[in-house]
Amino acid sequence: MSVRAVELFARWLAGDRIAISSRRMLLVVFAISVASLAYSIKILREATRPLIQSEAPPPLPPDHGDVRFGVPLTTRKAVFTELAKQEPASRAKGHQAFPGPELDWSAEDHRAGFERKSVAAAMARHKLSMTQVYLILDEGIRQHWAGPDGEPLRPTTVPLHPRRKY
Amino acid sequence: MSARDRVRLGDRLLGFFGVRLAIFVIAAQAFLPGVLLDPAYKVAYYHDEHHDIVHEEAARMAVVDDHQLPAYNPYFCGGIVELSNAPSNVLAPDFLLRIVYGTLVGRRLTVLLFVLLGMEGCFRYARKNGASAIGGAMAGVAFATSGHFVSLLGWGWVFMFNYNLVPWVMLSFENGLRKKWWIIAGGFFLAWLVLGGGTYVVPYTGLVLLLLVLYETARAVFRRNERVTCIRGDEIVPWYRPALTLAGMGIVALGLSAIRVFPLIHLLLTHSRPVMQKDATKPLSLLAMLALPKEHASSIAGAGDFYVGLYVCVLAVVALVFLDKRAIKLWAFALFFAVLACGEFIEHSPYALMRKLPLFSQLRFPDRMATLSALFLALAASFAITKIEDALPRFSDWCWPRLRRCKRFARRITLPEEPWLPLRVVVTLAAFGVAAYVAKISAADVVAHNAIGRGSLYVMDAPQRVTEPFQQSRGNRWDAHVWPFVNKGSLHCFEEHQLFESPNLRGDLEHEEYGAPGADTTVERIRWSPHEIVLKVHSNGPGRFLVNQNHSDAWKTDTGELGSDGGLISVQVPAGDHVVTLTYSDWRVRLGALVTFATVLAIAIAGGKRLRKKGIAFVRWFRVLP
Repeated sequence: MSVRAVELFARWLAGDRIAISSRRMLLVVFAISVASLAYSIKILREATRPLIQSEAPPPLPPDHGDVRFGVPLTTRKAVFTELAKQEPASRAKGHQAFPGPELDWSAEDHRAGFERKSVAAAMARHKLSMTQVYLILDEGIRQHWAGPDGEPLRPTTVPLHPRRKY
Repeated sequence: MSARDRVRLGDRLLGFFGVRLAIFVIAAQAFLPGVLLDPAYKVAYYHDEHHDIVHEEAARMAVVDDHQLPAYNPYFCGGIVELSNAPSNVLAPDFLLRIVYGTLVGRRLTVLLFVLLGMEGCFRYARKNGASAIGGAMAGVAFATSGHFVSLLGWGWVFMFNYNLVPWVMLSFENGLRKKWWIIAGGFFLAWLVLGGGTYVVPYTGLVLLLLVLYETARAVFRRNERVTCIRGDEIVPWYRPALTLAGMGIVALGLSAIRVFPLIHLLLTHSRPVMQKDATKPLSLLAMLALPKEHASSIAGAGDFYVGLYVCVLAVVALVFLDKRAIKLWAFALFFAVLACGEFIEHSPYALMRKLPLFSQLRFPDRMATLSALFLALAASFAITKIEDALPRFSDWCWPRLRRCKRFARRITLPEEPWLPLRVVVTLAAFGVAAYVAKISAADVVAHNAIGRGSLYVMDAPQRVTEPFQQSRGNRWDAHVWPFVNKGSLHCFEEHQLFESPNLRGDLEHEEYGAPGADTTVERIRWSPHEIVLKVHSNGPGRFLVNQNHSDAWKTDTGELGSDGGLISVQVPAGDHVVTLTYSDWRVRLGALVTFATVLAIAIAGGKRLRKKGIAFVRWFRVLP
């Protein structure tokens, strides 16, 4: 490196204003820009690699025989019965917390909150995924499987009516 | 050459975009290990994350699988508006990441994108206002990793990460006072906010812009008689220019986001967002939210919720003590938002008055405005770093002439007028080192306290896919993310606006399209997509069939007449066999799309011409270089 280049670098380091006065100088600046950008892109790629390269969870296996969503009928019935058993109590708690027709949606929402907990319990007990448990509940409602009182679960919900205060 | 005229070493190094991007990525990695390294397809526990996933996945499927504009979402509430839904972000530029990488991975990448954008935006804004690069970088890291973003992630409100665009809007406005292309950039960032579902961020940004307009107008009025040397693009503008710049940005933003704004205005005017709650935060609590980390939350409620760093707050005070004009402006802005963030803490508080305005009356939780206080405090702190960085070279400049005049030295050695080059290098390196160290510990303090640890956020297993024809189910909004992946709609749902949902929707139907009771009509589904349903209908005599989705004026039929039956889609058909196509098509979306397309086209043409001119100028300049 020539003495002039060292001096130029020292002046640059010391903060002197140095105009780009030659193509060679422009190329040096350009090379530094490109190199630093390439390095930053490299670490950006490394940072995002675990996300981008991870595999999506496999879809549920296709139905065959009495197995749906990868779960045999007896287990599905057992899961549904457990969930259905909780529903009357959940409904009652919902109406207790949010009484009156104005709060009907909130009561239903409260019931659904309890259902979420029942689903989590069923997942743990039967070693099933959340998707499987909800699909079983949906199947039971759709097929009108009997609930604890011998009646099928209600297939409808209360139309959306958000509260004014949360 | 005095220290004022010299370029700081930090400014030189961080002037390379690649260098600061590398620093920002490293900071973002330290802030987001839970986001970047936890299993990509897991989801957070909080139900709002699940709601957002329903909307985003429904929109992604409409775009990717059916090549449709996601104007409608049949997967929630029995069918509701999508792109005009207030928090919807399906047309925001960052939604492309969901399109390319899928909803769950795309959401995490969006978080990273916004954090990096926030850092760079703050950096540029601080630099524009005269802060050193090290100060600007510190402000960027402190703001983009501040406490509110941690809460936002916990709630799953990725769309609210567009707070990180606020510094870009501010930068565009200030540059737009003198350069018209920045007005277009400002319009673009404003449009991004609108398209990105900025329920809160858009009105807050409106307030920021109002403050900037007032400040710049006052500046123009009071400084109009001054003669200012124009070396940094800081020449005085006419008093009306700030308002004109804002108007220009607004017009560009409206043009770019018309596709969402037109139907959104209709939604806001016709559907209420019931809000009736009083929120108040004590000023001391707010201070704790900003300046104390979460560890103190047990002793002071809310501590750490908006944590922007104790060191950063101290530095911001230091900048104020030095009476730095730019820091005073930023402090004034920070205090403005802090007072509003306290909500209705006293009778007739500023927030209570502000809530009388149309758009602001629908907002809750004023403490969220503390995010902007955090932004302005971080920016003010950057000027303290600048002072620190400049102190040593200025001290050296102050000493040198005195040393030259000192007789003891003058007898032995003749000192040059300028300090020796090696001495100047040492002073510059020392100043750089001290400023970088203070900036590093300040930024590291914020990152370390707010970092999202592995396994702390994404604790629920990924939803699994099932390929089945679309059906409505009773569903459950608390785990709403499950339903679109199994191609089912969740009738049980939640929206902030009082959107219509038919009481006659059912989650136990064998077929979602069926002959109406009493009509001798049979229906068979040929093809289903969110915005177009093709059916084979047979009717002995004039008949009618129903679709298990909410009726809306945007639904059209190519055969017979479409109406509502108890809120469900009902179609009257003549006798015979028909192939009936039902289409969801909102004229407001179509009109908005036309305006958006025309605006994009106009900007692209003008931008192309400008790029060409710049290219030619560069080639000419390159040719004259030796």
